[in-house]
Amino acid sequence: MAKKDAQALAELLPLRKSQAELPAPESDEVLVLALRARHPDAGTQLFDRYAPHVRRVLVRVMGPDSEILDLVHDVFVTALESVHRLMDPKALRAWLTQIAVFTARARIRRRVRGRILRFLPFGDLPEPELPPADFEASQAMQAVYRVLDGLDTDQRIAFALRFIAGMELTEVAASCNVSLATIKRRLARAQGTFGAAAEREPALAEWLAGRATDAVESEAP
Amino acid sequence: MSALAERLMRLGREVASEQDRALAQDLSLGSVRARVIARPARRPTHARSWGLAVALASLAAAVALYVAWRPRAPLGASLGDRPLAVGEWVSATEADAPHIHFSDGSEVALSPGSRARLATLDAAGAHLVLESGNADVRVTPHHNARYRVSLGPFAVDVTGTRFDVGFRPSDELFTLTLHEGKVVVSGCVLGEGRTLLAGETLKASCRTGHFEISALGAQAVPSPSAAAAASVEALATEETAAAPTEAAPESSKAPVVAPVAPVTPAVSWQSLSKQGRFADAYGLIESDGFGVAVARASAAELALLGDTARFAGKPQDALTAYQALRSRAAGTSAAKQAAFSIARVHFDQRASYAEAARWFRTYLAEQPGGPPAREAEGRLMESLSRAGDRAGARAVAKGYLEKYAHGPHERVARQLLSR
Repeated sequence: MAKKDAQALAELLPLRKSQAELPAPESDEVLVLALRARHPDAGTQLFDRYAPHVRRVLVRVMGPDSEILDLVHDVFVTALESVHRLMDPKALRAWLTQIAVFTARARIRRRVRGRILRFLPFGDLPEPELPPADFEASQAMQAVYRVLDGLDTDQRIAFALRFIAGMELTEVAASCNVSLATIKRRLARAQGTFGAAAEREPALAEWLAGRATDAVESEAP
Repeated sequence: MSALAERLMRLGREVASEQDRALAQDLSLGSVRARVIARPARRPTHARSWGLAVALASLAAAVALYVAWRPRAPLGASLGDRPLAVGEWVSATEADAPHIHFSDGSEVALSPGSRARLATLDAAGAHLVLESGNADVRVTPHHNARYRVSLGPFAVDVTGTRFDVGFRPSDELFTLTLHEGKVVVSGCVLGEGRTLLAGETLKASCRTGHFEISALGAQAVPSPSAAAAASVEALATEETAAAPTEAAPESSKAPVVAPVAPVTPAVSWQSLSKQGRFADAYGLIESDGFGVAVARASAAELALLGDTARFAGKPQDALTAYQALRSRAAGTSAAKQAAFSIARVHFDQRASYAEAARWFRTYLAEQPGGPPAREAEGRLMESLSRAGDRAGARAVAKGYLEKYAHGPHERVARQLLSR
């Protein structure tokens, strides 16, 4: 595979044998070929192009979290090791989004399992470390993620991608690798659960009652 | 959309805006970048599974061998009257063409102008790296004898034989004339290995992508393929400077001309680096000293040397190599590209944003239409912003959006302009 991709890459890029630097490929397709051909610069270019996007997706799903950078690292390591499985090189961005979502999902689930274990009669189990925020978040943001922490993991992800990341429903479905109908069901449940739990959060009360949003809109020019 | 959904959308947008403001101030992505890039290259999962199985089988075999055969004392190596240490370089001049002697009777004679290093020495044999030039190698046959001579991307594995071997790094031309016994040569165009028999001569070039095996002194027979014939001709021209000049009887055996074979791993730092094994490559460079490597490297190798250090997480060494490239090959495309690499080191690994901005500007001034110009401009904008030069960053952001309205730095540019 690597040899075949190297040949394809050579046809697309005017690479000299001694050339160590990969010219910044304009298309994801060329970048994927370079990754599969294990071009020394391809990993750098993948990171430079998509690290901000991957981090943004992770932050949307996880909220303020000290482990975001570790997750970014994990996403790129996974991507670099499994790029041969990417069927459509043009879908690189969506594929990375999906890896980011599933990496975040695994981390959230691990934390949930940690919380469950604390209720088991094993007094000597270590307390899981709760990550501090990596930046000072507003009360509203803290409240949003406090409520999201109480949601089912898949509902939380669907909610974060739809309402915080602002993705279209089809994008949310693709990122979670489920059907559109499934995502609609998850979102409907997440919305209801979030709405009910948010009533106990004073920082969200105004937002959900519409007063805060109305105030923001009235300030707009 | 329901009223609740609309409110959630607004709340989400507010949360996202707050997150984006925080992310714009966060400088820590560079550290992850260095970790991701410096990580050793790994095979795909299925290959790793097989690799694990092979490794376990090898381990079992190794344990059995260890039980059967107790380890013996390593061979000794000497250079004239003094012992030759592992890792030591040996240079041959017109006045002094040294012979390396091994305690099992094997011997390597370096031709004037050649350089070699004793890489390893054990009970079965030795690993000698011939950096450039020619050597006459005589390996005494004995039980389990195992010698290896590495020449750039090529490797010669020997159990007991006599041969002349040479390597010219400038065009990666390899030549070997086998006088006795049998050797296996691997690497580059030769793939995982080709066996040579006594009386055969092998010439191979990574640059032309072809190799030729002929009987000692035989004339090359034109190949049916025009491309192959052209390459043989190129090899014949190239070999004049490096091929052994030993006279030999004519033979009717025709040369074998083969196209490119799969590339196999070689032991030079260059090949390790090209495989993405930057930490390993850097380790090999370090063994002789990074400064030595810089002093010895060609312009093309300096760029690779800089990249290797950069990806191995050694920013100071990377800067040394790139600066050397800029001074030695001033005005060339490689030197201009080095400005971009220097900027990246300052940005990603040293968080020296003012310096990074200076070098991104240098790159854009020297090569405004270069392949990474868009990235350079985007990162110049980020560098200025992080260095506290808001006015400068905004000016670059404006120009960036005019040129690359949907470029990867679009969001950063818009944020800078909206402040």
